[in-house]
Amino acid sequence: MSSDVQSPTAQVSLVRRGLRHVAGYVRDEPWITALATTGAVGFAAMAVLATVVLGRIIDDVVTPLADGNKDIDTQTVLIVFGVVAFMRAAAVVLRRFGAGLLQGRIKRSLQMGVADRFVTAPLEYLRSTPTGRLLAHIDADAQASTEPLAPLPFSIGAVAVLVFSLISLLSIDRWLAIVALVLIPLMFFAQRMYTIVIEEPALTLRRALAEVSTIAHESFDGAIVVKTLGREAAEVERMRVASADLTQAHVRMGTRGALFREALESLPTFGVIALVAVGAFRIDAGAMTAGQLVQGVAVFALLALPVRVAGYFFSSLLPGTVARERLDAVYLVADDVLLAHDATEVLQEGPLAIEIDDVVVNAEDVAILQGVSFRVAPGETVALVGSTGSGKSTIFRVLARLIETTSGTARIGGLLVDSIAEESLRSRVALAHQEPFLFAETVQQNLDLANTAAESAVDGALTTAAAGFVDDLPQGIETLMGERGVTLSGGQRQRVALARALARRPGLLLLDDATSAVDPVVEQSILDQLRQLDTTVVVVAHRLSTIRLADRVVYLDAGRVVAQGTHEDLLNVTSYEALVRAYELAEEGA
Amino acid sequence: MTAPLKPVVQIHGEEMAAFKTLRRGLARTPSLRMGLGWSLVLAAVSTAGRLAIPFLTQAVLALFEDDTFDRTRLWGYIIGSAFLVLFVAVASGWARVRMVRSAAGALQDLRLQGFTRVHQLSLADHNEERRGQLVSRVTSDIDTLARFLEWGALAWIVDAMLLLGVLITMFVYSWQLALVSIGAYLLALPLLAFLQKRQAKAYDLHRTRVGDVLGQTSETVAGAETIRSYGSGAQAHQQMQSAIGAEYNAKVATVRFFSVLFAITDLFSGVAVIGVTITLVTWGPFGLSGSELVAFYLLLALLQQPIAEMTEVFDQTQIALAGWKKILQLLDREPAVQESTSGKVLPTGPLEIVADGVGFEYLAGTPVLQDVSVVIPAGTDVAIVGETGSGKTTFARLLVRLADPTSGEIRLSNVALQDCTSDSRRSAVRMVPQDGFLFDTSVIQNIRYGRDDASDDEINEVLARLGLDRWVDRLPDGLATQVGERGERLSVGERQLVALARAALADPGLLVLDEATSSVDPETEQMLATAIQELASERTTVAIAHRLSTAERADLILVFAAGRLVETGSHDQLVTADGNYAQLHRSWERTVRS
Repeated sequence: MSSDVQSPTAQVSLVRRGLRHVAGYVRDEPWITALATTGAVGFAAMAVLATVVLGRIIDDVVTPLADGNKDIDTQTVLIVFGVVAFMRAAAVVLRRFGAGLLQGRIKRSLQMGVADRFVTAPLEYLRSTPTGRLLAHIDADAQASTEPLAPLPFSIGAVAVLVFSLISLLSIDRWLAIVALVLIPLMFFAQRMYTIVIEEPALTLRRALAEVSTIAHESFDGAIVVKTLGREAAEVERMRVASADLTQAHVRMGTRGALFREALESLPTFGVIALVAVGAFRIDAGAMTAGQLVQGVAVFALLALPVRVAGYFFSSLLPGTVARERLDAVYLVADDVLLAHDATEVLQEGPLAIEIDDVVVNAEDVAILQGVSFRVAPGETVALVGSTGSGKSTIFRVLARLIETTSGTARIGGLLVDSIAEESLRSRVALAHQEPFLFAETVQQNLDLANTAAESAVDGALTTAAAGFVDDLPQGIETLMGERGVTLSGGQRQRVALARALARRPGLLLLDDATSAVDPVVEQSILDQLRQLDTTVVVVAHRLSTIRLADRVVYLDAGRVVAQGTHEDLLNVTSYEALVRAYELAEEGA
Repeated sequence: MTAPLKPVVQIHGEEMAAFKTLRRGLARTPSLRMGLGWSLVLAAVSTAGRLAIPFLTQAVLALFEDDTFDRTRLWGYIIGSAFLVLFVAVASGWARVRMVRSAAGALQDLRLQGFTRVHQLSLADHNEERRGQLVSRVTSDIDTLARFLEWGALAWIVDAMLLLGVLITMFVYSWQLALVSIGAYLLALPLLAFLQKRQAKAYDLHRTRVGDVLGQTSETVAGAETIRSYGSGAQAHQQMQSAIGAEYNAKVATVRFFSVLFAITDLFSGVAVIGVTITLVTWGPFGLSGSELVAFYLLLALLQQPIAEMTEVFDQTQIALAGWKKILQLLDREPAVQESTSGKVLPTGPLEIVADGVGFEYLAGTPVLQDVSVVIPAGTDVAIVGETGSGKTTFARLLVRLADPTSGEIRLSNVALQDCTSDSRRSAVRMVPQDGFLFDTSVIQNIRYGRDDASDDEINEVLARLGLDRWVDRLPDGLATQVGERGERLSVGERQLVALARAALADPGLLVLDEATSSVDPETEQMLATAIQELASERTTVAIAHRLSTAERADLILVFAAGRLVETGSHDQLVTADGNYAQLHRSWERTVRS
């Protein structure tokens, strides 16, 4: 990331961009920001006022009492003090609640934006970005982006603390205000230096944390391989190196920051000592009282707050800005063109024809399909046969509009695939895979992802797909699948996925080796039943029995159609015959 | 395919209290105790620094209670306290650096101990559901602990010390006023405790909701193609939105407590001042001078900050201790095997296998394998068959010492497997697991993991011998092709090819193969078959056969059923014997060859 470049000018512009983002958040939530800021300013006013009242308690109550005076009016001053303390606490609630709310709301809207992108982003974007990074966008990045908002209201209120404190000090004695005016810039300087000094180790620390996590993930994912290769020691060494970097960054942060950190901690105390010294001379000169000195000491205790809060704000601003810019990159991901928002054609009812004419698909400059043409009549069952990389799955993707074609045309039911409305395409064309993705939800929800299928359709689909085992699951069709539910075998998963495809009563059914893990006997009965359905079926298969079942075979090699016809016809093609024989051998092994 | 591996969970069922966790944690990582020492030093000096101000103010104001204003003494006080504060700054800076140093070192130790232990755990603990937890043990749990040690833990120590220092000083001034001050805060205590508990729950819920958002998102991302091809994008979108909405609601609940808790301590600091003043006016001044009373009021102001901070670090403390406890429990787990130090080594060349009354159980009382005895001559090509749960995978795993038999013994060419050194075992015995995991690097580097010092030429030679050079030529960048996370840029079959090449490079005397169950396309299947045949020729090979065709070709077949070895012999012998194997074989023939 370019943010790793930490030249001073780059930093300044980073801060500027960060402030712009923060200003944007404030514009999005003006009322909550106003609420929290009111709390912060109210707190500043009440906190300073409390020091004034404390001074009065000392002068009007405590000192006379120590002098033996018994006739003292305490009521008024205590009531005032009580009211001020209560209002100060109320202001704290307002400030903290508002700040938290502001942070939460902005995080929510950032997350919603990411969710919005993930749903319509090109599949290629989701495939090529590591899952860990995508997850970081929706949580860690959104969190980091809003981190400066937590201290924001108080940072604005900090200005009020400074102003009110100076007024309070000036009202006692201008010499006290002068001491404060010397002290405040020193504290800001120490704070700034602290941030600058720990910048590099803080950055290294974040990088080292990410590295440690990557290693742990990979190493444990491959635990069995690590064991069987006896690579434990090498893996521990890899982790040791990465975590040593982490440790060093930790230590460096502590050591480098030590000087300014302690300066920051002790400067207010030095300020108070100076204040007491000045105050003593002023009291001696009769220009000040003991109560006013106490008031001054208490005000100085407040002076550390603005500096500290501004420190939090700026130290979270840089990582926040970097995180926000990562999110901005996500927001810029355009909608998948394959979603074809302006397509409006609607597929007719009943089985659908396929016409593929000279379709070329290039991916990363490699031609996957090099001009494929073939037709399938409505209601026909066709098998695509070809070795790995021949383009079978890609043809399915073209038909399901999951990949862009470079040239040529593909039609379903007489309509160009690109012109079919998303909803129509999805409800009339169904695709089932060899390794289906099932969601960690109930079986029912998995069968009816779009929540549109009739109950009878789901039942029928389960029967056709030979997925009767679903009834025997602990909660039947309502059984939860995945980590917190049942784990199904490969064959069972395939049958659930097949039922999912059938539940929408498609006009075109694309089966990408979708029954490979199903017991051969069961597979036969499934295929027999499929033939009874009023739908066009295209299958990719490696089992001879499946191929034989098709009305016609389209034989592909290296992205081209080599031959088509019945299985028996094609046995005359030498390479086809060789391939099918290989299937036969593999099948005996299966 | 695999034996039912029940995770061992009940061993550490009992809850560890916070202090027990602390004590055990310190015992585990002694360098932390050093860090604790430094933070006590830090707390002591910083308390001294804080108490300096009330004392100074009192001393200076006391000067005015005398008849004459003594400037020399004033300067003495001022310069004295300036030096004290300077000393405090230097000392606490120094202590803090030392503390960070020992804590960082301790955390690194802990991380490496945990990481090492995870790799020593039995395979039963490495299932997919637990993997995420194992990763958390050596990452987020330790990182949380690190943040806690540098802020929360330090806050507890510093605040406790400051609180104690202030209270003792208050009592020295006036026990009556000290009691009133404590009383005011005690009034707030039940309220604080109540809110604290609710807050902990709210934070807990929030963490769960964050997990839900991540879970929902990862489904949407991983299942993107399915979602797209079923047009269920709107549903997925809506589910993510409601997860995000739920996280926000949980966040608002935490914010409520976060804002009120702090305000309460703030409010009661005001109550304390009022209480003290009323007591003073009614019964005072308890023999205190004006300057001493001023000092008391300044002490009172010091009381609030540590109390407020303690309520803030409470939640962080709970999370950190919970994570720490889990790390300690991980470290308590027994390694799956204890490596021998006897120095015995296995001979080179094909190995003879003797299993002598071998039994195994993951959980006491539920044997997975019972009384398996067999002699396999060196160089034999063995197939193990049996249904899921028959114990065949477990037996194979015992052969490569992924675990030790709970009874009986396995000897390889007259050396007990438990006695030979790990280096010797690792070069002479190899397993090609079913799991086609590859490291995220190039194909050649993945093959080289078979033997680190292998040259490029040796690797090319091995590939040619196995007939895989053709395959390599077809890869986009040849041997330099990057395989991606977990090897996912290669197909399942291709990953197995890499695993075979890796095993061939090591040239072991015993090779254990776990056949893949997932279907592989015929071409790759053919390459795999050729490579396996080539590999089997110069060593003892044991294959966990999921296809009976593998068994048909083997010299010797071991048939497992319900944890026992029930039949041994060649294919022809077993078919003639008409037992378990013959039955399996018949039903298989019916389905495939009909």
